[in-house]
Amino acid sequence: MLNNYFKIAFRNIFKYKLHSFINIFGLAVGFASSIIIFLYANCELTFDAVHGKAENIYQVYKERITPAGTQLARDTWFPMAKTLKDDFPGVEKAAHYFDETTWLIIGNKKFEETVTYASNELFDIFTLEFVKGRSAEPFKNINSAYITETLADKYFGNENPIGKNINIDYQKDYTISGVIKDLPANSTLQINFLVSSESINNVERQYTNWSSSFLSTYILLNHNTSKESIEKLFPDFIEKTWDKQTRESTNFKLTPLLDLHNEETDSNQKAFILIAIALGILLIASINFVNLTTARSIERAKEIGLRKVIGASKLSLIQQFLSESLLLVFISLIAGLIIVEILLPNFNSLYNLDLHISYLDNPIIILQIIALSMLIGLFSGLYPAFYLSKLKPVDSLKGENRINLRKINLRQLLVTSQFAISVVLIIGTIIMWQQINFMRTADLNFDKEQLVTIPITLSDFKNKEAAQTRLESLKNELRKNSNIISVASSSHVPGMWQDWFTFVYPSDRNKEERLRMRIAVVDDKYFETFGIKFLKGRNFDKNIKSDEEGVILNEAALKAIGWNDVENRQFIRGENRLNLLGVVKDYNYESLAVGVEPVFHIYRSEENAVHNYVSIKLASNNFAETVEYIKETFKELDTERNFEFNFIDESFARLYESEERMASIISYFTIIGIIIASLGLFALASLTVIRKRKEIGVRKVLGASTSKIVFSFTINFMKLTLAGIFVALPLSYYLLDEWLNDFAFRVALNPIWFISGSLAAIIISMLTVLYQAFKAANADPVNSLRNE
Amino acid sequence: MIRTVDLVKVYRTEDVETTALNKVNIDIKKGEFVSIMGPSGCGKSTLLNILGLLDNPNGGEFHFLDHEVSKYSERQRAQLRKENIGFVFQSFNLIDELTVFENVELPLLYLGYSSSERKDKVNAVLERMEIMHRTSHFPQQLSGGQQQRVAVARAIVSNPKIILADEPTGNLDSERGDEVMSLLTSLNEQGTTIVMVTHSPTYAEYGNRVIHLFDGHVVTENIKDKEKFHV
Ligand SMILES: Nc1ncnc2c1ncn2[C@@H]1O[C@H](COP(=O)(O)OP(=O)(O)OP(=O)(O)O)[C@@H](O)[C@H]1O
Ligand SMILES: [Mg+2]
Repeated sequence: MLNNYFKIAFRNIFKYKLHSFINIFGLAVGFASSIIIFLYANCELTFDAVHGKAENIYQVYKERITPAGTQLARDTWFPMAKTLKDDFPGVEKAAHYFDETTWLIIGNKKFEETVTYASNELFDIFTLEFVKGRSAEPFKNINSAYITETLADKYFGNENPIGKNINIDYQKDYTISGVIKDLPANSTLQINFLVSSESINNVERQYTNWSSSFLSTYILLNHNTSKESIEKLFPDFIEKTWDKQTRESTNFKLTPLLDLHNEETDSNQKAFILIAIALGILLIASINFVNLTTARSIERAKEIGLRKVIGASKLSLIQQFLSESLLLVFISLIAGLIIVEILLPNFNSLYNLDLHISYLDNPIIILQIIALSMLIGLFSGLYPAFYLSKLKPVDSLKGENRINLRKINLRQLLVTSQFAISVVLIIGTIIMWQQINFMRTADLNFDKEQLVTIPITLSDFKNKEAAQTRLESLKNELRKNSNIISVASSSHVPGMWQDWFTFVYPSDRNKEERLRMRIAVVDDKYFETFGIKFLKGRNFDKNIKSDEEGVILNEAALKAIGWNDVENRQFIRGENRLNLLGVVKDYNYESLAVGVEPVFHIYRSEENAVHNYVSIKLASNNFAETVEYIKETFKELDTERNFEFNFIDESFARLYESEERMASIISYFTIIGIIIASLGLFALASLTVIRKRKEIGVRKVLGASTSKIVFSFTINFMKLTLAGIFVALPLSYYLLDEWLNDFAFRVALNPIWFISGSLAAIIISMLTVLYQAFKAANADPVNSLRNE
Repeated sequence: MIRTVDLVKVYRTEDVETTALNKVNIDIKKGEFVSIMGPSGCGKSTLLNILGLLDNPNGGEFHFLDHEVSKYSERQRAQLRKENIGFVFQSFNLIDELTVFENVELPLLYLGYSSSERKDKVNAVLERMEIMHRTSHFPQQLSGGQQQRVAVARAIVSNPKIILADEPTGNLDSERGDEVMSLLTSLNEQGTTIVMVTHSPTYAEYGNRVIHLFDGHVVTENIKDKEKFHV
């Protein structure tokens, strides 16, 4: 029997080539898009799940309670891990690590790499697989180093890396003791080159260092120990380690490893947005399927009637149509998987991802994909199956279709929801790009044009003594060029701003009111070079010795303290008393997605080792020439660092890469969704033309004009489009307003965007339908009547 | 075999109500060949569809074999239908996507015959209809007369007790029409009950009895062989 069903199904597929193509193509592309999205979302949603014990792993973090709200920081202290392990019941393992970008010297070659310094138990907490040199006690020898497969391959090729010597920063020698498997991209812990944190200089001093926090600390809890039971112990611990006052102003908490990535990047929201889009596309494709199948019921009616006459029960007809749709879905699935195989490498390289379907490693995925397609098959086959099987044998033999006339509402509803989904996608895409464009072009309250920054610091020199004079002469050389307007040194630059915080309080208040502020160290040319405007007071002056104890705040900082003026204001920072010299306008040092927080600028002369960047303001003429000049001047520096420079405007643009990536993924899938929806509409219109051919013929014979026919034909589709827009407008307003609220600086929703999104939908649907309408209206009435 | 008492069928649309059958009483015995005649729109097809369990009457009794079926559900009717009734239509009504063989095989599929049984029966009936050489053709590739022979083959392949034919000769020229009529006659001679709607008085004469319908009720019954069937 099944055989007979499939026979008919196949013959129908070939008979109605256009519809079959639209059905299969739409579903295949829908499957392909959603499989790719699901892979991506799965990668995000299973972040850190590679670590076998992830469910019991927690990261320790702190919250500072300040007058301006709580501030979260994830950096912890060196002795923290050991203390947690020793003093907290239920903590099975504890480890810390920190990363440092530095020079690796191998033989006579050097490479800039990120080195991870970690304590022993990192291996017990995280899943690090050894490829070579497995060891129960990895850091038994304090100079052991572990490298990843990729790095081993990069440095040693086919040679055995075990036993090779590597020097870090011309200071310390390590021996490679093992090779570990690369961690997947969806692991928070990323390792290239791993050494013991016990091997750092003066490590003994760190054992009791509860003042500088620079490491991430992770613990592995016993199965029956809860996060809360540990968190309960923290206040006493804080008081014991620091003092009562710190206890009041600080919370320690635990983040489950499995939540960490989401808390830092809001990845779940992004994943769910994409999943919703995938489901939207699948819905659009399924609706095509339902509509085309039911719309074709007139042609199928005779067959159905006959089968009933011959003895088919309703159940057997439902079975027949379900197996037909499952067959079609299955063909689409195969086509979809082929599309995935073709597109995934492009998608991966476009977005720098490593997604793949590992059919062999993960047979479950095959089941999941089949389950998904079955679901789609049932979803889109069930209604047509019931619908068609309900046709009365007598009616259907006559070629009449009574149910069709009455139940047409469902199809209209489905087409309306297709439009609604499409319009939400279009408006969503428009608004996402508007927000990104706004962030890219917004006034940052400093002049980001023609600004070049070179990362260079005193520690980039092998010869530490000569470093200072070389850097100085570099800057002097640069200043000689008439196309260079100004040169500044600073610890931070906008666009590449690193987290660095300090605690300060006004001298006329007590210590309890201390504030945690971002701190940046600058020289006297910084504000001028970046074009940051002063609101009050004055800049640092290198001729005034006491300016080393001066402070310049941004507006946000002034507001956080609650002052209106700058005269005779002083701060206490640690042991030091600092004078407030001036206040600058809030400038955006970070992505506009986040706000401008209080920044505390202090002064060090440009020769100071704290400065990490040299920033250069160029004149707008002879631009390329000047950059070339900078490059040449840099060559004479004789540093370990390769010449590398960033345009500040480009650095800022890079801050929006993740938003842009998201928006561009969504744009692609929006286009796909619209194409599928239009194809469905096109086919539906063509079926309507076939159905109305006789009616249109009669009308023409009776004297109706082409334009009248086209109008009456399109008006119905127009109504559906408008209904879809009507649903989509409030929905997209709500969704996008929510989305925009996550941005510190957001665009106000502009009605134009909603109107143009709606217009786009109207134009697309009209173009699709008009073609069919003109075809119908221009057909020779004699022919269409005779064809009856 | 078939007995109706005051059978009523009313069609309702939004604005009009048509009484297609108005208290029809008929009685058809096993082995009869009954012709139904009457002007267009008098309710012949409606009656045949009800007799064939394709449709339910709105009132009256309908005894089919030993069942009172007027209130049967579509499922129950489908069951009786596939076991007992074969249909032949004016417009052949073959499934375009299936070959001759597959069309004829279909009733057997729904009756759950094994594939070898199906093959034997279909080949046998196709041979009898002299259409063997066309088994793998599709309906559009056949002439009207050939299509009607396939339709008859499909109607009789499952050995139904009764064959209902609605203007089986309506779309055929007289030669092909004669062929179909002799087929039906020979089936009747082998014991199959036949009810046939026709506009042709000549073909109506092939039956043992002619029922005349007018405006939804029976006007006359012209019984040829009273002796044979003791009414
Ligand atoms: N589905 C239906 N809905 C409404 N009215 C119907 C329907 N089917 C038939 N009728 C009406 O019932 C009456 C009988 O129709 P029927 O098809 O039985 O006539 P007929 O005798 O077979 O005519 P013909 O010789 O032209 O085939 C007609 O008036 C017809 O309009
Ligand atoms: Mg009729």
